[in-house]
Amino acid sequence: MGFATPLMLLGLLAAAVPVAAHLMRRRDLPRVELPTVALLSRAMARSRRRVHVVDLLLLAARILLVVGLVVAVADPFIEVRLAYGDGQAASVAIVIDDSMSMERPLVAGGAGGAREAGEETLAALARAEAQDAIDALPEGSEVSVILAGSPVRLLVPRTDDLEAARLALGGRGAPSARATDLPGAVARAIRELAGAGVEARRLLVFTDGAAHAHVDDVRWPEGGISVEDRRFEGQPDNRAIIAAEVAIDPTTPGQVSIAVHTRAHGDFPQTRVRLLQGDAEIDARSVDLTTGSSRVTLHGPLAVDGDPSARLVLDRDEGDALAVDDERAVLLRRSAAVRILLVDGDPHPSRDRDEVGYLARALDLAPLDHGVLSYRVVDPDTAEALDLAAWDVIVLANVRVPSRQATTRLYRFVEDGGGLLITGGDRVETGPYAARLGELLPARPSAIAPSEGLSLAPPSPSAAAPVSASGLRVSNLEGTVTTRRWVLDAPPTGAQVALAFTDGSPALVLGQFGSGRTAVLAVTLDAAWSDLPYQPGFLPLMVELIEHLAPDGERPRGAVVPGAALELATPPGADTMVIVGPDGSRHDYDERGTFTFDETVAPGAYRVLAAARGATPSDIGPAAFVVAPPSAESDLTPGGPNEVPSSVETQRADGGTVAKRRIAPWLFLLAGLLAVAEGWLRMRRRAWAAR
Amino acid sequence: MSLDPDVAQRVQSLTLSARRAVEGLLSGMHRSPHRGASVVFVEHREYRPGDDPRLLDWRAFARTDRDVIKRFEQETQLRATLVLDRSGSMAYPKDGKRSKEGPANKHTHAATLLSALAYVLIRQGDAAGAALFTDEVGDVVPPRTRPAHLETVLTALAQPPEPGAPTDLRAALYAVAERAGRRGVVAIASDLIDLQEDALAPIAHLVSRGHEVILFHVLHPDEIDLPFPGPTRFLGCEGEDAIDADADAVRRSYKREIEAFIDTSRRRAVAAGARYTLARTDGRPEQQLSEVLAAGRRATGSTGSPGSR
Repeated sequence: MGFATPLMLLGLLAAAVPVAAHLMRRRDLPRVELPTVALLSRAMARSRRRVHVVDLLLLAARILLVVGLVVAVADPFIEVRLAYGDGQAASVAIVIDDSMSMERPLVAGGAGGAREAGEETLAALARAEAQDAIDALPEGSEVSVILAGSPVRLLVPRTDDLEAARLALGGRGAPSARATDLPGAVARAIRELAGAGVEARRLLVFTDGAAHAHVDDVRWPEGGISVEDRRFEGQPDNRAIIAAEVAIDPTTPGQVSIAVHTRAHGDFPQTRVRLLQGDAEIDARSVDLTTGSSRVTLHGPLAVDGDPSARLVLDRDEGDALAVDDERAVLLRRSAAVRILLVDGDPHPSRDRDEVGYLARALDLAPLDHGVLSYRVVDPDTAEALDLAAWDVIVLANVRVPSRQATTRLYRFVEDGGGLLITGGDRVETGPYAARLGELLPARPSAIAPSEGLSLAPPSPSAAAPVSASGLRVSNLEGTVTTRRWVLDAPPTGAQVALAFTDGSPALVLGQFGSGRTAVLAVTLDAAWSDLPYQPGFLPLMVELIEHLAPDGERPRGAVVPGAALELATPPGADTMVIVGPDGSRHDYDERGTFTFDETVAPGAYRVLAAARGATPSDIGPAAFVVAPPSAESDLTPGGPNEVPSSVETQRADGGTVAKRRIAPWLFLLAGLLAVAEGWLRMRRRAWAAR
Repeated sequence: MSLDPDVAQRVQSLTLSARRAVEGLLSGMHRSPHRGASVVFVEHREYRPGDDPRLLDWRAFARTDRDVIKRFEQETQLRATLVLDRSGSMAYPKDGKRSKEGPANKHTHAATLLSALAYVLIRQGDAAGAALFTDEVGDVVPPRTRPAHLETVLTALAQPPEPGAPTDLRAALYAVAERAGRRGVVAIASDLIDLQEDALAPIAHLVSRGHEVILFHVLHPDEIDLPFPGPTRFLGCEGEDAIDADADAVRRSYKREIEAFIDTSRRRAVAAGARYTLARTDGRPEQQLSEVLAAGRRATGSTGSPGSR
């Protein structure tokens, strides 16, 4: 504590004035004789003690009043270490990661770790520190708050009402199950700062910096905005149910089998997973978590009518950091998995040399958030005998020209909404192929040619974004080396080039035929013509390509990510729809047609009920869907330093600025209150003395 | 001390009539219990409704055309003891009158009252004496009827109060009762500042011994109204501890106390059989004396007047 004008403290001598006045008053009282002084004494007897106390209180109030005023005039201040900033007005965009991984508890010595009852979470810590940062901002500052859980949300639009912003951070809802979109949140924050009314602009980020946050994908602001990245380090153990596939049990009519995928990050003992419908346990299995990932199969009744929802629950474990991902809803009905028929034109016992070996592995490793991708590998002859209607996507990998009958069936399959991917290879005779399947293909192969020195790239230099115009993720393919290729004709109008060779010729072309989608890849799926299967972008490319080709289902193929918006349609004959959330909340829609439902924050099973006007809504079993946390959020592995680039202006993480906080206004307020108290005491004294 | 001539002039018209018959060594205008011993005509008095018509003096009526009655009763001399408080509290205010028109010093006022009474009594041939007291009886002047005795009485009454001397009404009045002897009048002038419960008990004793007791409760307006402004240190006149008080603040409760004190004194005095008069020093002494004597006449039906025997 210090004083801006310490000399004014000499005025403290004035504190002696009330004391002196008190004493002088007693000494210098006018003296008069009064014969009836005994009666006066009797009159004062009742109030004398009280008046004496009031006299002392009055003396104290007057001394404090003088002292308070003198100290206030001396302009005292206290030095405080600011939680954030330098004490100057600034426009601050605060990004708070409110994804599921931030729900882990705080522990001593680290940011997250073993869960204990009543512990605060990283999310709460982030909000509290954000409030502290807002408190540290002086008048005239602006603040905006962006939540980095997916989808990105603007919690507080840019405002100079700091108290309102602070209050907005005070709310605490149910634990989040959202994915992380830190790059999107930072981009949104930068847009908020673009219109700042204060010259100094700052970006403050709170995140756990886990690998799934993709901090390295963040485009930090350059110039004019200083960044502070507050990481909550630590890698607590966690385990989760990351996926559940439901399939009709072929061996037991009326039953479904549920393949439960669990994953453990850290040391966990064997535990149990239980299938619950309501509170009733349907099935239970032991799960060995010591190996990290595991899969067990449970069985339950097939829900034909009514509510198909059930829950998978892991037994509680004190060492588990996140509880949200220990439970997952399932629907006891036929799975909505994408069925893929891989027609292997060049089979080989070794999977590495098999034409579809890499694709099959990619589908095996596909993130389970995308829903189940089930496939079957067959040779071309077997494929010609199969009923294609049982499949959603057909991949012809280096397959010779199909027969006329098979070609006809392929046309009908695609026209009816199926997906078709044709990839290059030596077994394909380009001329007949083009002649027979030409109308089906988005780009016709005209020849097989060497492509020494050519690599793959996004279709145009301007399309440098990791997502191509077609919507496919085509990043991490830039170093692909090709040796041979199909030479594809220029794609017709309506077709899209999703990937190109560095000479500009198309490498992957997407098209549409009837209700179905088609694609042609100019290289093989194995490593014969290129090292594409070795590229880190191969797996996401293949998964997203298959999903692109798969027909749109009547319901989400996999679990819905929390916060995602769904397009739902009122079923024929129904006038109203009711969606019942896992917490029992009801959302009524009284209009026919499609509508967007985005109240998907809470994980669990969402029932869909429909009815004609006036009737009681009943469950539409097939329309029910599940919202589940993204599996990546369960992996709390730190993402590495991922430092903010040196080109970006950064700020010290601890704030560190010492600011002077004036307390004179409070002292003046105190003096005012003392003056009021003194007046009140004087009135009371007079009243008491008169009694 | 000599009586203020103005006051003396005005009190000449006053008469004192005892409410009760008193024994007198000398014949006077006061009714005697010893009827028939020396019955003579004394005077005419205007007839008043209720008088015995047989007493009407028809001759006088024929001469003057006025209804008068003849007084035949034997009159005896009155023996009066004038008791003056000389304690310290009676010296208030010490500077006497604050202004020419202001209230008098309590002692002065009390002495004036008793002096006037002595003047009246001795002028009409009654015996008057004086007794001065603080916490005990001091100077005592026995009752005498000689006109020259008036000066002795007035001289005694003129003695100033004893500074700081306390008051003990009980002891003093008992002592007066012992000395007052036969039936008579005992006129007491005091501020009665003796807050003991039985301070006025001797009055009943005096009355029971046949005395008519007149009590002048002498108070200064300052004692009643507490007119002092703001915080003040109040000093006692008889050795009491000083009190610091805000007069403005305490005035209301003080006035309640003083009124209770006056009321209690009055009730106790009257209950004991005395005639009580609150003699404020800002009041006119002759007025206060007149009220007391008039009350006495009403009680006894006496028709005496000063100078007529």
